[in-house]
Amino acid sequence: MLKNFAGILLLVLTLFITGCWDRREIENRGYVLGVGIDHVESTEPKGQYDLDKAAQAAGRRKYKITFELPKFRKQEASKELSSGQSHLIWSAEGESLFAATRAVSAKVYFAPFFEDIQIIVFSEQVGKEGIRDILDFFQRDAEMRRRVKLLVTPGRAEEVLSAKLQVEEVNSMFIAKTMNSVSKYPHFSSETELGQVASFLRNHQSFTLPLVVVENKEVRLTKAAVFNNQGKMIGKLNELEVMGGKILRKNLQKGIVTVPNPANPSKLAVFEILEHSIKVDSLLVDNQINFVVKAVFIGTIAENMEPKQSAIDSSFLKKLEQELVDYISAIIRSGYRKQQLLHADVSELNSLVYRQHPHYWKQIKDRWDEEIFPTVPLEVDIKVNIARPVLMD
Amino acid sequence: MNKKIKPWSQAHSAKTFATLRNLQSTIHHAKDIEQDIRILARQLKEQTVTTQIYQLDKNIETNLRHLQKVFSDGDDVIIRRLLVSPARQKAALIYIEDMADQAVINNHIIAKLTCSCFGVDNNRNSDNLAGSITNILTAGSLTETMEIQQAVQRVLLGDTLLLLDGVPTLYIIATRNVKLRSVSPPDTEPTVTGPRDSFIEDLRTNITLVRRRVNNPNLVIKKSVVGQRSHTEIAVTYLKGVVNYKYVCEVERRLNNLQIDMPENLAIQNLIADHPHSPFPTTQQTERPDRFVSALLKGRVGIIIDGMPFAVLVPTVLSDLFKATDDYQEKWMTATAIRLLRYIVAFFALSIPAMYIAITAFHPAMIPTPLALAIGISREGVPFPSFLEALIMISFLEIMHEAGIRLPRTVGQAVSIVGGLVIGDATVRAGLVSSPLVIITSFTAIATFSIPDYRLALAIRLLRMPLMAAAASFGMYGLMIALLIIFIHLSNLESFGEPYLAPLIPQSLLRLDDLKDTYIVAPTSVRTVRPTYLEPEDLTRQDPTK
Repeated sequence: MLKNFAGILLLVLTLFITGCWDRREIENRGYVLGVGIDHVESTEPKGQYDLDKAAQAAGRRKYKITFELPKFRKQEASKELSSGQSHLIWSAEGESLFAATRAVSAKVYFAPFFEDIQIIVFSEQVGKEGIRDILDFFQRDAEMRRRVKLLVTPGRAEEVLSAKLQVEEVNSMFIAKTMNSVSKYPHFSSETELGQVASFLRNHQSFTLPLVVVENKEVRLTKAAVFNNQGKMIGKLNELEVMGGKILRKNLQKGIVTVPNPANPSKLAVFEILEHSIKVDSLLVDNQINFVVKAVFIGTIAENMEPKQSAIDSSFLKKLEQELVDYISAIIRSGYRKQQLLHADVSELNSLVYRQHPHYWKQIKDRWDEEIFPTVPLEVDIKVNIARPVLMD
Repeated sequence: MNKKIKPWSQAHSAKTFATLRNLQSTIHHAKDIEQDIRILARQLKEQTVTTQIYQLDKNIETNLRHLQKVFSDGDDVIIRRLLVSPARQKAALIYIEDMADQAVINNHIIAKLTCSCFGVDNNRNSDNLAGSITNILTAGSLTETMEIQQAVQRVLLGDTLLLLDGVPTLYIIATRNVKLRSVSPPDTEPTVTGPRDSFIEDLRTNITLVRRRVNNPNLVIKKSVVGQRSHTEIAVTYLKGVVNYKYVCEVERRLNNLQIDMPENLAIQNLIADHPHSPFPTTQQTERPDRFVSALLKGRVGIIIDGMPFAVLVPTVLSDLFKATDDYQEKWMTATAIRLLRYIVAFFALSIPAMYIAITAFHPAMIPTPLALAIGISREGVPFPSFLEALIMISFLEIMHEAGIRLPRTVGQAVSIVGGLVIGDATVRAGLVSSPLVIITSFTAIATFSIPDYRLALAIRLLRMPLMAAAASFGMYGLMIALLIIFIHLSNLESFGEPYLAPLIPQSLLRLDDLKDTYIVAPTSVRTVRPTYLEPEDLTRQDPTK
């Protein structure tokens, strides 16, 4: 009995003497909330010691990876430090992102912890060179999350992270939260997450990422960076083209359309889309594909800037609806046209062809982006219904 | 002179000192020996009395001498000699001061015996007197016995013993004067709308409280005596026609097997429990007669112990410990919500400090980013790892629990101020403990208090610490393993042959009826059967259709 007991005790002890593996107190983790990836500007050391250089046996000093971490500090102290930054920025340089990440550990004792990462920002140069090889690190690492939002910035990604904003919040958190506004303001690319992008790259599908710009203590999300099926950034869609592309892709949520007021063209009338039903079809005639968009937009008059015009007048409403039809059709066409010009089918029309005409798709799938897609005509058939013209009177 | 004395003193002084020392030690020893002899004499004089050695005699003096020895010449034992009136026959009364009702003895025994106006014939024959004694005395109950042991027992309970010269019989007259507190509202099991009476320390009163609620001759109360020195009365209570007799037999067997001096308060329930080494209670104690009765009606067996304001109910399964009297008086939906809440809260009371440790130190990705950052910010500067931090706070909590019980009521307020202010606020301000942990600790405390059964709450408080250690060593993995061990242990437990998790995890799909009063409280009209796991003789509880 005693022998058994001692044996069991020894077994249990071996469990406990292994120590508390994986234990790391929450305040000692380096919560990486945002990652910025830039090209290294110059390889000349900036000071006496080259702080940023990561030791790599092979590879160039190509990328600069920047981490944004929250600054943990006591609430009492925050009153005095209210002018101070609410984040910490650490960076390292190297071709291997993993080596660079590890190099940060020589600067700070809390090891980077990626499970709460919010955004990854690429500079436009990095995007133009292709992000496929870089994303491997983010997909491979066990701590990474597929819900990380990817962004492109025209300037330097590190500046997006280190910029001082009006709000006392970590920039990455702030940007990630602001991306939810896409439902109210559809003029920047819908949030695109790491998991989605990975599957786009795997399926050779073009995609867009939103642009983020920083100026005067403000960030702004705008436009869309178009990536071709090789993961290389090839151009941008402007804000209206983004909206047109979203209608084609059927992921428009809400939005407003501003048109000249039919009663007085120097004034404006604003239509807010509340509901819509969009139908995109592909027709195959004589081995020639063409697309048809049929859509009904139902909404309200958000603003009628011509006070003399009663919004309840049916002839006025008819004219306004016609203006809106023209305008939305133009948006759709321009968005589509731009995609054709860029040879990038970011509205996922190829999957529509694949589903509706699988035999035809088999013949042309290798030539779709480059040859077929830029030549496919688009027919637009839009209806607008102003459901609630009057709120006052 | 000096010259003469000096050598003498030098030569003899050492010797004298030695002699004196010897003398001193002899005196000491003599004192010890005297003490020993005194103890021995006392022991011989006051030997533990076993009543069996004495036989009743015809001579009253012999009997009195024997009884005096039996009662160890106690000063509170009164021996009142008297001469029974017409025949001038010697008689004596033995009773214990204050335990016997002096008024009954004066008016109904002494007055009648010494009264010169007997209604019966004045024959001097002592046998006659013995025959007519039942008519002379006007006390309520009169028993004749030949056994000294039984008589002594009754005297110790407050009855009076009557001895007559020339009659080798003892008359036991009921003169019990029991000093009781009145029936008061229950302290430990309060309810909102339930009855306000609770058991008290007297067995008879407690039985009355039970009988009042069940006007049924099938309510069986079997008394027995437990405790070789205390001779405490114990009543095993059950409802004939409902209870399965295997439980009654098992309870009686276990009680009969007890070899103890005295059932110290409720220690008896640890002695008859199936698993004395488990932290979980496999018997239930209640101070509410209504709860006791409803348990009997379900087919359980109750044990009432004299001197204890708590009764014990067996068999007890885990779900019994989560029931409160109010459950059945509320609407079933609210009652169900509250019942479920108790289970959830009990789980959290057990595991939430461990979860805090596991999540903050091992798996911070399990919580949303803003919460993780908030915890991180509040932990910034705390010098302890989260396990030590939690251990300190939970230990504080346990100390305050214990202090709260021991405290005199008048200083309770001081402790609550010290506890609430110093431990809650000051430790956070001093940066020794993070504020989320204070929330966790107070939640744990409140959760513990909401468990209806005190002994279950104790078990949960005990198991909290090992869970914390497991979580601190292996994170969520360790916590899960520890919880699994606890559940394995729970499923191994039995109470009087009944699996401890019986109705919570039904044995088969045919026994789903039991679930109507476990996690949920089904409407009263739906709960038509008694718990099937207790295998009652009459399964039907009620039939609302009839």
